[in-house]
Amino acid sequence: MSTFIEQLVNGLTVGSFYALVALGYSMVYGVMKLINFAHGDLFAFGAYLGYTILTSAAGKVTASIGIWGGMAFTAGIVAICVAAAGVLVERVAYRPVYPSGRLSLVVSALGVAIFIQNSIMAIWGSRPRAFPASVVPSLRFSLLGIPVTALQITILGISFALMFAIWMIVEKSTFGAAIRASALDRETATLLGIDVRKVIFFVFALGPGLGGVAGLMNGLYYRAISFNMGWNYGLKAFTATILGGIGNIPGAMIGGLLLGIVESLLSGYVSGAWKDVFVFLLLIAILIFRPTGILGEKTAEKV
Amino acid sequence: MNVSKSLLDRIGAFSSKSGGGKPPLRGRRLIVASVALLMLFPLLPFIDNYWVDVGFYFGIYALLGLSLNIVLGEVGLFDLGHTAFYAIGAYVTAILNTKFHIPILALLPFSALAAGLFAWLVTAPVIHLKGDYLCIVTIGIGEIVRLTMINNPFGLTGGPNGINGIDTPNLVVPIISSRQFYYLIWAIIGIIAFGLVRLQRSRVGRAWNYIREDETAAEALGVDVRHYKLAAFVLGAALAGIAGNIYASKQMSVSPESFTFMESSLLFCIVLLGGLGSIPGTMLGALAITVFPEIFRPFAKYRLMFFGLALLLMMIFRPAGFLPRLRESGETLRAALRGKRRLPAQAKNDEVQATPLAMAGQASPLLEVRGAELSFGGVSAVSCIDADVVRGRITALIGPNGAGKTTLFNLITGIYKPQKGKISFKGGKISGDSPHAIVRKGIARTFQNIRIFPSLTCLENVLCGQHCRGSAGFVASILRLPSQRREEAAMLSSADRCLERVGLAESADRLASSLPYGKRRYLEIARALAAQPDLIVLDEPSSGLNDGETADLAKLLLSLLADGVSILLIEHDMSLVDMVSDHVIVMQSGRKIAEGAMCDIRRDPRVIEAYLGSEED
Repeated sequence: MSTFIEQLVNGLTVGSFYALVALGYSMVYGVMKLINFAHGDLFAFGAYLGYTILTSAAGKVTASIGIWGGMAFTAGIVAICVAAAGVLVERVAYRPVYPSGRLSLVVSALGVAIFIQNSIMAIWGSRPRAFPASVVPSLRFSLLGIPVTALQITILGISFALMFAIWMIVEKSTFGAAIRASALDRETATLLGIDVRKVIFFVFALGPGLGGVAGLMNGLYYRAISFNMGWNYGLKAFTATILGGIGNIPGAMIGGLLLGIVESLLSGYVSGAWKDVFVFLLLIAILIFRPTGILGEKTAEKV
Repeated sequence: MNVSKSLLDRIGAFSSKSGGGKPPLRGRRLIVASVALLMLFPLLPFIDNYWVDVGFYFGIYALLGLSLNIVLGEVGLFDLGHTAFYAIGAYVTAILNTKFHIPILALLPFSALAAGLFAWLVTAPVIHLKGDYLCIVTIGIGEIVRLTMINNPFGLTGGPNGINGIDTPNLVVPIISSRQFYYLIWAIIGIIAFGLVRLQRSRVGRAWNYIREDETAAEALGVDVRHYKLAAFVLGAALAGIAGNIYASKQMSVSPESFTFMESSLLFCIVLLGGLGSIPGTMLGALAITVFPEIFRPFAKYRLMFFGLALLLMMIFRPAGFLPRLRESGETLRAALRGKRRLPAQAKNDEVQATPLAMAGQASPLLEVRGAELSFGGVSAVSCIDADVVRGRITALIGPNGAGKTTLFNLITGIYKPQKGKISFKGGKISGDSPHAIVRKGIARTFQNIRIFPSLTCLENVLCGQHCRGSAGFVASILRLPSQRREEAAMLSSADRCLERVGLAESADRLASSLPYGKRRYLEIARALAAQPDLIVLDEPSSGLNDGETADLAKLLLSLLADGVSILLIEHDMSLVDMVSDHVIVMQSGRKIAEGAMCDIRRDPRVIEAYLGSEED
């Protein structure tokens, strides 16, 4: 039983990374109808940026404001930088290609993904990097008999807080209504006076910003990062997005968390090597039996 | 699925300039020159084995590109897992060769079959998914295949290290040297490209393009969308399997790392770089993908970075690709059909019947709707409708917006299935049939919001209607059997007549997207006529037309009736209904409220209330 709960906690942690990345996919897909293949690589960029800050300047910063302060400071910078990168990607790679249609956008997105991934390799090298133990809080304790680390609790806390904030913004605020309207019908939203450009700017800042923080937390959690980690995480997070219902914000969160838990249980009880095969089979099965995902709504095509 | 309109428009703008007449001589010369260059390349004095190998891998990518082009370029299905089929071909060859020592070239058909069969098995359950959903499934399939290879099930795939010690092929002489491999792959590509060009110009190739342009319209005009989509996947996968076979024997080993998602993305880029559905374009795309890394080899560390950038720039500055597919004129199609051998003179009755069967004075109505019901999530769109369409009459269906008229049309044409009730046509039940089967039985339609195939020529648009009257399949089209050539010629002349009928003969070679709005309506009618229907179903044919055009439309409808085509139309323009209809059915809120001749309908209090509101309102 305790292994079960351990796997569950582990799955929740991984799932919260997926959920944060999935939120970015989902928001961008909602407004642009585009699978932002670069999103996973922005996640990796966040991890590497965090690594650099923590291993270079952070030696001093951490010494002055403590290990937790250092982490918070790093997360802030990572969020801002990756958000800026996200906006830049939209400006340079998507906006000029948008009129040429969705297939061109897919190629453009793949091009950016390849560019970012290989830029990371050119800057940080092709060998994996490891976060030094000194920057990662090592506090661990037992919660109701289950061993958890302070880092796990922090990651879960931050992730849930961020998800809740996004959910509140998208579902409750006026600007959130603008986002949802743009996602439903971009043209009508424009006609109704919604500044869709502002919405696009916002989702391309917020999505990658969250993804970057998730990348940093992922690095701290596993301690090792590699330049091509974006492909795999991106793919998983996108799976999570579909699982929850693409373009649906709470769906992305539920999809991410569920995927993390399913993965964790599969590798704990079935087989680690076949885990991903099952995940993709699950994805295909869901698309066959419930193509709109768990929370997606059915839309009929008008003939 | 609608591949971006603007992209198609761009392709269109390109080809409308060069349309008409024979294929440009310059183009033909370029093709001859490139084939000659490809054949001579390994023999050039300054070309060493390294570059011959580069030429070989260019061939592998060209073949893979052509195979994906069928799925992505011709049919417009987002396939980002195409490498899976390539991997299946390579592993089937590797396993059967190393375990049972079957010669490589004998395994070539096996690899193709295995990849094709695999494609059929995995895509059949998901083929109905649209756009990005299908895309993500193909990514999933690609990953499942790669991970399975790594996991070494039953010790078959050799795990992460793969399988070593694969034989080299033996074609009269053993094929070992770089040059021999080079010629082997390019000879195979030559044969395949030849077949693909013939497919492009056939009923099959056109059916693929109709699906890419507008899946719903293709199905509603008689194309078995599911069949052709699956066929594209199976054929594309089989060709990728062939590439896998040759690749495995050249490498003498296979390993999972050759079949990553990155590889699938590259193939996707090849097709888009070249130009959707363009065979020479795909070759050029493959060339770019293979040669680019070679040129940037000195900057090994940065070359993929540059590559990503190049993809991006290409999509910004030339989104339609290097060599977008040009649509061929009717003349070219006919010239290609005639070929060198003349067809034996044919009997007149070989021609596909141009006019529908003569009407017989039958008592039973042509179309009978009995108690049809359909509701969407509790909202009843059509409830308990009885309606008849009598042969040799124009029946009009009128009613306020939201009355359920179009829904009833969609029930009749099979796009929706009635939840209750029965629809029969010519005495046989049609409710429950798929739309393309209903077209074959003799009901063709037009759409309220025009759905033509924008980036195809008007002639090709109309040929879509003829699709269900032909039968030539893959084999007949590739071999260009006499029966296929006869059928094709008959289809072309029948399509010509339909265009003439609606006054669009002059525009046959123009792209449909270049037609003005009013003419697009006529093109839709011509397309429906080409299906040789007994009943033609028109959804608001006069909407957007001015008075003069509406009067012309009325004349056309009456002349169709004179030819024996019965007509059912939805119409808001009461003057048109008045002019042409013999019988009027009035609907409101999903129910039939009145029926009869127009003069009676006009006085019916329920109809007046439905249109003007009751006095109490």
